[in-house]
Amino acid sequence: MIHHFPETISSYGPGLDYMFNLILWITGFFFVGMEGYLLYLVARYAFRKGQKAEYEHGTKAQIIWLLVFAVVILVIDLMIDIKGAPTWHNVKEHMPATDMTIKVSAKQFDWTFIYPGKDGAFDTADDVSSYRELHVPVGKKVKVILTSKDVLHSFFLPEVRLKQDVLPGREIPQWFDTNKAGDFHLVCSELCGFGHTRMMGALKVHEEKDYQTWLAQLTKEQHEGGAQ
Amino acid sequence: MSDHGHKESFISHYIFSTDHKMIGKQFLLLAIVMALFGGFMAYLIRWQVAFPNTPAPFFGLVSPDKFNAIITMHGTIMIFFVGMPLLSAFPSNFLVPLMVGARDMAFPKLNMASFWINFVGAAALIASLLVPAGPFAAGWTGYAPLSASPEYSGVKWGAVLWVVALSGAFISSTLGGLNYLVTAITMKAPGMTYFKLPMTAWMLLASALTFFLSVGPVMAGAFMLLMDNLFHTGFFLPAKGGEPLLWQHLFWFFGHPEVYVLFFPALGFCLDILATFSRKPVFGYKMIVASTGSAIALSFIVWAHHMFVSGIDPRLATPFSITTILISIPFALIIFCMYATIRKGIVSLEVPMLWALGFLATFLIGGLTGIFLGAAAVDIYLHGTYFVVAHFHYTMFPSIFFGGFGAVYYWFPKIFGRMLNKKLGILHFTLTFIFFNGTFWPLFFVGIGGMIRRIADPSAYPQFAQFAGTNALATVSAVCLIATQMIFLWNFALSVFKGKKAEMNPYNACSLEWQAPSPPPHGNWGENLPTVVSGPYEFSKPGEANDWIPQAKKV
Repeated sequence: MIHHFPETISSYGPGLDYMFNLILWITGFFFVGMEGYLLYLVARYAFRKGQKAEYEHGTKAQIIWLLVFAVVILVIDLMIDIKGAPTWHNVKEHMPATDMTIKVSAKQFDWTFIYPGKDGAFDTADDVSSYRELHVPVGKKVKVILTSKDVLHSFFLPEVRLKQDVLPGREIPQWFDTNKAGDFHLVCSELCGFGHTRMMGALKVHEEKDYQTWLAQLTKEQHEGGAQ
Repeated sequence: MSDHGHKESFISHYIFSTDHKMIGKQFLLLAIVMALFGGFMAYLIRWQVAFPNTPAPFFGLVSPDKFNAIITMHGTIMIFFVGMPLLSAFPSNFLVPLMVGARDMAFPKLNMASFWINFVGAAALIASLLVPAGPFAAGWTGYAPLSASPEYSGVKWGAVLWVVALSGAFISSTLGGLNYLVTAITMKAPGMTYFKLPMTAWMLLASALTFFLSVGPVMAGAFMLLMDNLFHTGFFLPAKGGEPLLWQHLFWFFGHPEVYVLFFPALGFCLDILATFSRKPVFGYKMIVASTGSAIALSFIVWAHHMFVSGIDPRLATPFSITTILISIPFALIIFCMYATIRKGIVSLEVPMLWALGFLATFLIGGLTGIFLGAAAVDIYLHGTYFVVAHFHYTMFPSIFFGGFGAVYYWFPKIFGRMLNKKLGILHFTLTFIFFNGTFWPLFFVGIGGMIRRIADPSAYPQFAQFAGTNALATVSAVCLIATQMIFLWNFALSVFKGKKAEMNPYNACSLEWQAPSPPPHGNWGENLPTVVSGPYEFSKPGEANDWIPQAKKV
């Protein structure tokens, strides 16, 4: 099923995909085994006219066997938890040293991205912003600070494997990186009102040089072009 | 107390009835009528997803405004006004007194109120289709602040009526649940004990108890939502000091147990059906009861798995992942017991048995796919995609419809005193099984591909164009699935009036309800209450002439 995934372009993407595959193999085994056994039971014990069913409520030995099965399942469960926890931790619980920060502001029904400009600080005169398109340089660790002006939205970069709900009154930091330049997707994955379906965006991953060119161009348009 | 032969007017018999059997039938009818609304909405959703911006036959264009309203109404109707009446209120009303050996519910008037309050809730929801700005459109989960402010949602009266409808359902189920529990605790026939109750009775009581314990917080939340919508109180609005996530906590603290409120009864019906049509006692009776108890306990500490990416403290994810995945253990034990009940039996594939086996085959998929979503790391990607839609339809549809139809087919002779047509039943099951899988199996792939749910116009997303064929397959299956239900309605209507007369115990089942006449008269048991002497599943006992022993001795 893995080939149905969109390509992955972040450093943590393969970890998530690995967890998916691991669970797919485990559940796939139980799926085939249990559906198969159900079919076998029906085929084996149907239409035995003239015979008598076993009178059994479950002996102690049988119940112990079931509990052994349960322990096996417990072990598998804990293995999934233990394997998955570091992946979650890496994406959500820890913030690595990042190369740059971008503020993401969501509202019904679009996205605005604010870049700190040359001085690296927000709320200064050289801040620039882009609308619906998030631009990042390839290979850099990017910190995004998510906030909403009205209702809940959800910041979903499918190729990066990052999703985070965006809340009014909160600034939620997240991080990601990319290993490939190109045009990728951003969608709002939380129902946010009648225009929700229109609230898509794009993730534009540039080579470092192209990113600087784009940023310089944007700065020129927004500060020197007279538009404030 | 047994006042059989008493005279009643049409109104007191069919409308404002206090007889538990009539109230059960009223809930069944309500569920069927509401399922027609919910099913039609499912068709409109699927039409718009597969054939966006083309007019849906019998409706017209499903615009984004309508789409959001329709998905909201579909979920609300199917959970609260189909699932709850069909799996809890209808069977609890009809079966609990018969299974414990009582003449009626402990509080017959409260029981009548329970139905009519539910009816008002359903009517409020249907009425909301007609108010200005249309019905509530913030999703059946009603996430705030969208749901809490007409300024953001564009809907005011729809939101108010939605809260009224939910309150109706909550109050009704609370009154009903109180009744079922008190009846089972205090009104057992002589000789009846808890461990002589059939699994259906156990599971209906487990369902009522779970509902009781979980509904308080969401009722408080619904009231706050109402205040926010009417008076801008700002319980969920950060600008006024409120907290959007509070709603999600209150909703899912109720919402996750609610899944089991619907799942337990389906398990109960299927266990009874599997035993009867395998001619075997239910395997591991006490272990099933214990597993159910631990599942109830666990169900109260898993709710945040709906909220991994919601903005809660990320350190909460792993503990909630562990509790969530742990819940597979009690349910795995119950499923193993169901398999073991069939093993070494004499399996006859009667129509109720088909539904029970279909339930096992399909619910398994819902359970297994839950592990993907319960693993927090994988949920980062899958949350909010069609994978989730496919997963929960593989849990809810088997519970509500495979379990619900199993119950209707199995107890129909007891309820209406007539038999359903078997050939139509087999056809109904077979087509439902095929088209249900045809509808929801493809959606797993669509979700893994990254297509998100609840978008009104997928044609605006070029990356989803690759799923057009898969979505069309799902939609065609969904239309066939809905059309298939007409076979059931036809069979039902025909058999209620013209079906073959049913015997008292057409399947030679052991449990007590089969020793009342079909249909049971007012007061259920004639002059004397039955005296219970044996367990509910004494099938194929060695040394007995018959392969079944009735629970009560002849009086």
